Amino acid sequence: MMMLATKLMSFARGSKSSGTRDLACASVKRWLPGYLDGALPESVESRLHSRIAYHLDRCTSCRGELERYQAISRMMTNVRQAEPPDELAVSIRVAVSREREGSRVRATLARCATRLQLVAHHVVEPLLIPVTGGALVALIVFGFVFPTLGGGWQLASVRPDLPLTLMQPARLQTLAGFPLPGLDDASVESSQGLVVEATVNDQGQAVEYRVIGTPLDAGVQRELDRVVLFSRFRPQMSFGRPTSGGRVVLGFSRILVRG
Amino acid sequence: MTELRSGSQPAFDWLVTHYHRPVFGLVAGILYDPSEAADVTQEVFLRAFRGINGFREGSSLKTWLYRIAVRQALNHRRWSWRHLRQQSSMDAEPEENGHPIEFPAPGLSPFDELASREVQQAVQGALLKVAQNFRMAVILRDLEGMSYEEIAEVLGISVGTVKSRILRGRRALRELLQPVFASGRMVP
Repeated sequence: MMMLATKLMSFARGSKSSGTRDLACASVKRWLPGYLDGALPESVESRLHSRIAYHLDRCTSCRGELERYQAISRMMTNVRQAEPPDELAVSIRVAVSREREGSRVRATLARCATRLQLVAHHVVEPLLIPVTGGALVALIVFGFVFPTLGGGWQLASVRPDLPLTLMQPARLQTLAGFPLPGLDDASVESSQGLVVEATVNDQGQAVEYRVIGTPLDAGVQRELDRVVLFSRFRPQMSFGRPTSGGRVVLGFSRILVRG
Repeated sequence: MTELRSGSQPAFDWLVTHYHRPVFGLVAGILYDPSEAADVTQEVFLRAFRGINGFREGSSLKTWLYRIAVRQALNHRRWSWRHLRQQSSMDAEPEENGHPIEFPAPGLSPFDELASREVQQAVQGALLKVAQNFRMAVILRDLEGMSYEEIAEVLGISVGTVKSRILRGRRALRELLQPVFASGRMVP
């Protein structure tokens, strides 16, 4: 028995001195974390496990290292998990409940969207080509063919249309109803009429006039003033806008009706 | 599952009652901020409610929920990094009041309790320093007790990658805790 113990000690000393133990220990220590619970790589597990076990039986240093790993593992296993706050479960339920409500609304919207898609698929899509074709045909017929054949109707404007790009001369709108001596006097048969050229401002008022032909006496001139100044004119139009300087020629003559 | 899919309120209440604690714990483990973890947990359940129809028949409800939680927590973390620029505060040692993880210490003397708290802080601090990918795998394995297959499904990676990440995560954790072991505060 004594001899056997001596032999084992000499073997241990011998292996240490030859350096093989250091290498073996380094290798064993490398795999010890996996040796604990079978975390060794599968490719080498069966081979390594027995060799490590054999080595551990003989090497106190590696056994000590294994015990350290076991101590760490024990501590990790005994670690008590963090305790959640008391209200965590309730707050999760509340959040899930809100999410459920939200998901219901989303589900309803999704159902509506699905139905709309179905309607679009089954109703709108089949009609899409005929409706588009019909619209195009109607556009062609009523836009080009029908007017060409003389159909359709013309739209009447509410007021007489005025060209906007031309000069429109001034013209008389309302003649003041004052009598003119000499023209309205039935006893005077030799009257030859009266021609007056009036200048009209942009307000439609005569600003001056001149008598073309024989000069008038003062009485007739005064009456003519009243007639011309109180008459209303449409002013001269330039590109649709009233302008001053329009001229209107007024002819006064007597019409005799006998019988 | 059928009731959940049909939007049944009692079914979802059951889901909330059953899973809000573990989901909160997982999210808190990723974020290390209980106040944010509560908001993120609520968002996780809202997303679960919205996406319940996307749940595959035959999958584990827990795995599915954890997957949403991990994704949501990581998104929130990224968002915080980008918008709030609180990287330092998130990765720094958590405040004592804000610790989401605590070791049970029944019947300990005040001295032992203080020592236990120190070790606890050291482990948490070390875990925070482990790279995110590795930490996720370690948390799901060692804190949540999930199988490699479940972790693979939650993280959307292969089982081999899960094992590799756990291996490297634990190795990193061990190296970070070396001073604690050396000081004798943590005895194997």
